[in-house]
Amino acid sequence: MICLFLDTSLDNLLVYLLKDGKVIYEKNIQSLRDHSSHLVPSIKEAFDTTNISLKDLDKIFVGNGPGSFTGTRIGITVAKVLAYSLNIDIVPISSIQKFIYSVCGYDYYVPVLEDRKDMLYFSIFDKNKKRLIDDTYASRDEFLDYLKKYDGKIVIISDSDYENYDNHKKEVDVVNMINYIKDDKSVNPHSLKPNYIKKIEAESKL
Amino acid sequence: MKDVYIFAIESSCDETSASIIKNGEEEINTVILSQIDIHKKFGGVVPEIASRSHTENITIVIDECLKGANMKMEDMTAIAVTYGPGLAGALLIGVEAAKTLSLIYNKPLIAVNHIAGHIYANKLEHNLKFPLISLVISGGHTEIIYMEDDFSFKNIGGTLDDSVGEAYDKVARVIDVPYPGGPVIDKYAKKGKHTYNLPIPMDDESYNFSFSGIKSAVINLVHNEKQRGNEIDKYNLCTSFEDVVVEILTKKTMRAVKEYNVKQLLIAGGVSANSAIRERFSELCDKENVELLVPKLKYCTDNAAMIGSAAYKMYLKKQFASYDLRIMPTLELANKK
Repeated sequence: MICLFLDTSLDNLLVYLLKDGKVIYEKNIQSLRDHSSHLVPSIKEAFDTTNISLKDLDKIFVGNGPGSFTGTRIGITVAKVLAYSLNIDIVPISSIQKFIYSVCGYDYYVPVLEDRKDMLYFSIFDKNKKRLIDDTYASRDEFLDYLKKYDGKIVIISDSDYENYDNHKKEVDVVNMINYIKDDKSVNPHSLKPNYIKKIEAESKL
Repeated sequence: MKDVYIFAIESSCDETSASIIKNGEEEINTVILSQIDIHKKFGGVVPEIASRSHTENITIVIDECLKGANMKMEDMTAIAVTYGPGLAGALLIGVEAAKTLSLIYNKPLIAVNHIAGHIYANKLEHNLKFPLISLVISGGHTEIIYMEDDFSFKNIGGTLDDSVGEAYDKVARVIDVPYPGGPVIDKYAKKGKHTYNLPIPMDDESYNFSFSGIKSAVINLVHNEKQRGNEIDKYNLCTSFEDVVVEILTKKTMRAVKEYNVKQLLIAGGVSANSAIRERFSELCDKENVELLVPKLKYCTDNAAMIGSAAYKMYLKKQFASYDLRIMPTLELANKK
């Protein structure tokens, strides 16, 4: 089983090639604003250096936001064309969800992506890493208020520190992540699109 | 020589398009998905919405293009794509899709300049005879290009501010004509008379244009007439505006045609669909005995067929791009003189 994981939603470009659950190619580099010139070359490198043919690819996992609109579209477009052309399964995964797999031992896992002006994206997963709510856009205060509803051991996975909670850095454990999501339902590549969450300005002015 | 099939993608503004072009001239199939209805309610192209729409439609357009031609990607010789000029987020979708196809099917990647595409749209129907002059007029461009030979572009003049298309859109907004205003102004102009006095913009010895002044002149005129309590005659205003635009475009372009002693004049870009511009150039070229090439209406606006046509010349010259290709939103066709 050959799987490819791509994510260009956030600052880091992620390209992982896995064979039977083991990582055989890994690229995790900071390339914000230049994902476009690195993504396809990295995919080529992944297959060239492992002597695997693109035609042998079985499944694609792709980060579909939230994050940079443009960045997310780069990964989504490449993944869509790959899945459509090779006629293989494609599974989108939230770009913040991917951070919950490097932590364990909690009742609730809460990945957070800070945005501008005290706003953030967050989500909540239970102790089995089952999703409890959709990725949500909220102010920091709204988020902290909302979190009070949950009783138990909570870990917040983010770039900053939240008082009264356990905090964890954003790290990616791709092997563990794929283990959890490998049987998630695949989608039709034609209808796959980024999960922007935020409306764009022109729309909210209408 | 073996037949060359180019699979071309265009996504520089608000059209998602794919096309298969055989040997640079024969259009096998073209699919164009226009977003015009989506952008209409905003009164113009919203870049973020355009990018979103390209992302949602790119594989559908590719698939329809192949199916309509009854061909497979394996049958293609090369993959071509517009990499500039255009909207950054929009260009990216076509470029990433083309890179991925090139990688999967191991076909050379050709990065095409959108303006070269507009010029080579004419090659889909006619033979180009050099030297020639091309007037590129669209929502983003107004340029006079001199071509001594295939893919030799010399920019001898162009707009210093707004493009012709922008001027049309701005005037349309002043007189409350829905987006896109160009075709409506063209229609209204046919029904009116040249009654309003508007200055001919940048009527000098250069080959440059300026269209921002004409916009202000129209705004002032409408404002003054309103203050006097006079109703603006939209038809007459459109005729007056279009007359002035056509006058300066033809005057400078025809001077270039004579000075460079060319065999052909090519009109290219979205505004080349304008009937007044077509008619006036046709009269003048007849008089000067110069062959005028104007693309069919379907090749005037953005489409991938023209990208495939231009890419063929690059294929013959083996001008291929690598996978680290970056989009160039402000790419120019040639250095300014």
